Amino acid sequence: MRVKNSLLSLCKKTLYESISAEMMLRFMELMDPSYDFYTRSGIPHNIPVTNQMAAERIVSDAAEDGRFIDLVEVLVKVDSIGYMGRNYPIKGLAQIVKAINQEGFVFDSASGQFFENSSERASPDWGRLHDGDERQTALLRLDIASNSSIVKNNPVEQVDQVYSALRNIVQRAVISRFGRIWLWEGDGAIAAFVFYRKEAAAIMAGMEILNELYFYNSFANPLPDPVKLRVAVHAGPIKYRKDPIELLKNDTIKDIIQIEGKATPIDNLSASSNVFLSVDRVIQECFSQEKHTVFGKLRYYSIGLEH
Amino acid sequence: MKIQVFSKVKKTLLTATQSNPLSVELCPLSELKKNSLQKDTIPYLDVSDLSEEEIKKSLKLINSVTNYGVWGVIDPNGIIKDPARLFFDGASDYMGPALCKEGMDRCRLKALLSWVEARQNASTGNNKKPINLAEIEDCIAESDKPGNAFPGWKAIKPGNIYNFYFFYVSVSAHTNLKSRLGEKAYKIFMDKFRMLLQQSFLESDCILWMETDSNALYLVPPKKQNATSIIVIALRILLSAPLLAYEKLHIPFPVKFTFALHYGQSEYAIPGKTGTIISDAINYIHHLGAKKAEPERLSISEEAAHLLEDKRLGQFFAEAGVFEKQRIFHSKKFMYK
Repeated sequence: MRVKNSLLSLCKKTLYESISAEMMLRFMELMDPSYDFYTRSGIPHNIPVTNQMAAERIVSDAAEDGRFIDLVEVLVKVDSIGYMGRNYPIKGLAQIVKAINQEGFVFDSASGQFFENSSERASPDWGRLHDGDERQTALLRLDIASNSSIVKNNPVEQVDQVYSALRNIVQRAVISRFGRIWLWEGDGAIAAFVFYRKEAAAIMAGMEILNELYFYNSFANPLPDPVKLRVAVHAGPIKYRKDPIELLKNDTIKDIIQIEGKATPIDNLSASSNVFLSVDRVIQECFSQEKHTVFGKLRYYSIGLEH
Repeated sequence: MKIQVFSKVKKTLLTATQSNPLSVELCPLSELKKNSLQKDTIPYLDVSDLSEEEIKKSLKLINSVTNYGVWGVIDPNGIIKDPARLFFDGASDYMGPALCKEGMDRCRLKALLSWVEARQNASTGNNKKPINLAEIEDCIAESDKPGNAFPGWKAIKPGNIYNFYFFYVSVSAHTNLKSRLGEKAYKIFMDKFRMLLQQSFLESDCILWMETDSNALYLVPPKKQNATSIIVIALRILLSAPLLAYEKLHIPFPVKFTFALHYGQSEYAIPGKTGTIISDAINYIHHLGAKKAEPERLSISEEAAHLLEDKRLGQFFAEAGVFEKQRIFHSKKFMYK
């Protein structure tokens, strides 16, 4: 996020009017434990630092590192629940939050985080992740079964129409649950969920994709045969990379590709045990019993019609 | 479906046949303007008493105002020398002196619509909105039935009798649900459920007509496409019930929905003022919904079963016996494996 100068000035003013330089440094370290004010500023330790100097430097460094929103999140937390048993009311914070909202973010008071407003844009990094950031991520991988025979045996226009409808189904299911589609190759996609209840969101997005495709195949598919998918949901640490080739080098992504390709039957959604436990019972009941595979314990969801 | 004849003379010579009648309405030529046509209307221009210049001008105008790209010319005195020329200019029908005496009937209208559709399919690069034959046939089919033709929600008149599809919705085991959630949370749940249904049903153009704290009755226009749409939406809700209950209704345990559909006739009253209506169809849909319909299924009465002739819909249903002298069809349950 590119931060406007007016917002930076407002934040600096708010900081030096509300808290001491010492506390500012502490709060900055809460956000980034590796942050060293004296090294970054070149000011020797024996020189006293005024509130203005500290606010100026800290806010500029946070913006330069792309961590301005993270800093504001820490300030919001300190303002609402205090720090080490003491209250630190920060005057003017509401104005800063409002200004960030105007930049296309929404503040979620439950999680205390800013999120990109999905109705305005849906960038792969949520406007928050930086190259190299490592996050616990829930992934959804889908693959169109028999893609090459669909492409080979049907008119191009019809195939384009079907794939565009499928893409819409996937996008709606993923974006509405605050996920992002990271990769869309010819026959499959990878979507990621980093914030909120990411595991539940990934599983429910997978269920919605299969449900919607079921109706698309029944009522709208112009092809003679139904489109079939294999969908997998798995979670693990991901080092975020802007370059898709670098992103694919993550072990968690390699794992989910294996789970989808080798342990997920067609027309099924498989969920690995590390995501399944985070889902509420009402959703868990739609899945099969746990099955042991070489890729770990998996549960499956698929749709059938009573005979 | 109605024919509107725009004429300079006070009485058109075009009549409707007695055997298979069609509604024909005479309008002054001065009323032929843009957006002047009622919905589901095909305009005809009566050229009697019109000068050559007036005919030319009126033909241009009628071509631009028509609803479906369909319009015709009535020529009781045979003053048009080259009727084929009219077709080159976009007309779809020409009725000369002999045909005007014979009259207009539904068979001719159907033949006309089929021909127009074929013409539109054959012409490539035509920018006109393609004719929706299904929609028009719906209107023709509707006017075959007793009761007033459905004029749309804006023009519908309370006190008149119309045909409708009646769609019944309820949440199963509502007493149990109420005691688990508590009175206040149950009310919030029902508000959210109503909102969810109304958003989902937008496409089918239905209205919420009657409501109690455990069920609701929606009125669906008597058109095949609206009823088909509501069936697909209901099936979709049944399949996605666990997701909807959890994500949209915020209920941490399974909730089961019961749906029923019936076709029949009733007096119309505005929602909220339906207390005095006496109708067999309304009794039937309430009985069907409360006594015969099952949770996690959509039940369809024999009166509405013609909708299941569409094989894509039919595959989801199975016959489920007879209820109050009508055959009933239940939707098959969705199973998760």
